[in-house]
Amino acid sequence: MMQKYDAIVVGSGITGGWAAKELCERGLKTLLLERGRDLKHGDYPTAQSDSWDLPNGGKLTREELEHYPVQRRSGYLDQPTRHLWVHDNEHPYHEESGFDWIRGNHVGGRSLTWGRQVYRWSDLDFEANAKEGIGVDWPIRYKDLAPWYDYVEKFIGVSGKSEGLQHLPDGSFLPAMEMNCIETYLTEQIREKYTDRIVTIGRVANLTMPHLGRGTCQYRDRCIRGCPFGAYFSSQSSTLPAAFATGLLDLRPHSVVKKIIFDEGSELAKGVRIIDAETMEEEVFESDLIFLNASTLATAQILLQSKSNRFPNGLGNDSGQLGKNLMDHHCYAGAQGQSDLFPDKYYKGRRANGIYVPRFRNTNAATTTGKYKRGFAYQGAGAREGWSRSIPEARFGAKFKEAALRPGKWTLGLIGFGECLPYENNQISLHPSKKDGFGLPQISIDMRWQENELAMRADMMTDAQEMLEKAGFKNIRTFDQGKNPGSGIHEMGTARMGKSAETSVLNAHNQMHGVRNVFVTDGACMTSSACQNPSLTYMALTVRAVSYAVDLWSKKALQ
Amino acid sequence: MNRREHLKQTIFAMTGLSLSMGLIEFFEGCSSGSLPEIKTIGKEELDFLDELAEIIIPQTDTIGAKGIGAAAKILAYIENNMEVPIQEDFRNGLLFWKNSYDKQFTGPLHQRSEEEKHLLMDSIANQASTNKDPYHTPFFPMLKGFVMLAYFTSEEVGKKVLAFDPNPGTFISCIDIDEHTRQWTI
Repeated sequence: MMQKYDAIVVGSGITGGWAAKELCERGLKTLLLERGRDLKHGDYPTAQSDSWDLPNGGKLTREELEHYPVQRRSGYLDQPTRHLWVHDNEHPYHEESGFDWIRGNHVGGRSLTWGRQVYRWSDLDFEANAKEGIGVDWPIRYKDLAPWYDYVEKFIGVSGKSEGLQHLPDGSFLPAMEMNCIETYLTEQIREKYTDRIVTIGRVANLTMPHLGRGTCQYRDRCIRGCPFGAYFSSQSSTLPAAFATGLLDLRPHSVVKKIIFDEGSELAKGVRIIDAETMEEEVFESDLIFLNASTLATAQILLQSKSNRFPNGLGNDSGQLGKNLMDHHCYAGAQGQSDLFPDKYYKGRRANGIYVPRFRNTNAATTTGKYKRGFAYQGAGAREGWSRSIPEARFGAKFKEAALRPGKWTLGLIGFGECLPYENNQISLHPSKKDGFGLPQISIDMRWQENELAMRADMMTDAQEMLEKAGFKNIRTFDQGKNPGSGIHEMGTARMGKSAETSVLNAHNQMHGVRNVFVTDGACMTSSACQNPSLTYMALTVRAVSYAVDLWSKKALQ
Repeated sequence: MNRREHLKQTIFAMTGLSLSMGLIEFFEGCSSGSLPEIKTIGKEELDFLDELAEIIIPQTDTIGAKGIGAAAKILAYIENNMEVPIQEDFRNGLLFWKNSYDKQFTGPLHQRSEEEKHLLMDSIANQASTNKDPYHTPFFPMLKGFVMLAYFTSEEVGKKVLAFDPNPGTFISCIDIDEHTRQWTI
């Protein structure tokens, strides 16, 4: 028997949780589909585990690692988190070029494992494509999103410091976390020696005070295992409880979306066909509204699979842009150094946050470089070295032991997060022959860093090196780990927003140009990538789109 | 400085001990010797590994590596986590040095003097520093890394040696410490 809802949301991660909350709170009976297992708030089995509670020092065994040939590339996979990453052999995809698709299939998705760094975008970002003639113009500007940033920040709770930068707008902040003494020292040195850049504390979705019934950060730095205090924003801690509180939400885990069903007569999507991952039975759910929030690549995959006579190349793909313009932030290049200062200073607590150097290249005429377009920001942290510093030394014995037990030198590292331009040939497609365990086509991913990204990476290293040198750090070394696309875990693009149905998939309200009751508000919608972490912008776009969609739905304009 | 002199001076610098040239010649010879006949790791090798670990992190006013059962932890970790070539390199290194020790001494390693223990460990370290074989991992950095991992992730050390606090509850960005302050967390 078919079941009818007012709205269906596909995906329960950061944006899916938001879509469900907003739709329910606006009175729509909503079905939330999640392809993975259920995971309830508090069901974080390793949240209280100390290192001695974990086998093998917290590392995975060789046999365990065989399940994760892709996930292990991220560096985040370990005993405490292994249940939060997919078994790659059960969720295959084809890498035309190297691409790290890092993900977890469970309720909450990557909202449990995300880095929680949240930064607003600005018109420097929204206007860049148009000014430079790259890709297509964003159909919105900062003023369109600003009130929705406010709305989202006030709910999720963001600790941070206002800096008054036009290209990194301030938000509604909870009290900022403190910098330690070496970070404060760097901040002062940069302020003294540069006029085009600052250092600020990271803006992070961790609570520095009780907020809407959630607890304050306990400074354990175990966020990635799930937080029993609800001290950082996740679907489990924040949006799903709000959605359930309305009594209007049905959550259906183990639901692999096979396709969006398109009705040729009304030119609307009628519903969603799923495969139950436990029974392998297919089921159809109907609805007036569909929000796709499965994450960038999964959303594009669903749309590409949703073929019909009207849309033989994927739902809403009149433009031919579906699957194209895939982006990610390119990271893992920068510099680190040591300092002999403050040998008598330390800190207490494990602050799950770092420092941030907002973009300072190509922000205005004075900072323009001809070497590349756009720019990068740095994320970093200062800390005293731990015991592992002593491994390379040839020392041993009682004196060595006493030294190893004490905090080491201060170190400070800066890692660039660079903007990736949208290129049509960075894309995904459905593989012509490879299938997954559900009989669905695997996606084939073909993405490469190109000339602009590679040129920027050189600056990521030299600029960090220069800043540390000017600040008096020693033993400075630069690094470029040259990781694959995908390693930033900020996949964006493939169903971009734009002004024209001929060149984009979505309009200014994240609504499909060709199917007006389907909205895409996860990373797939992005028209460019900026260099700021994108999740806050996804959230703001989601609540804005829901507001618009429900307004249309209420007026019966989606029937 | 030749290698023999380097060994002698290194030991002196680290321990303040002056050693007989006979022992130095012996361990210097071990450093460039061939692998022993391959055999499996048994109780004797496990005890020998515990003693090597204890040389690296000895008991002082706080527990040492042997006290936390370093050898058993290390062997379990290597068996479960390391690729086969690393496992073999570690086993071969352990057996090589056990074999070298047995040729020179009778009785277990813990019965040796501090000078002899330090000379043995310095020889192991020195072998690693002069190792030019790109296909095999030197024994000393493996040994030391595994010993430290076992030690610093053990409950005894976390709770009684370091100032461990699983739930700090707050972040204090800048506190004063002295030369006795230990890492407060792991």
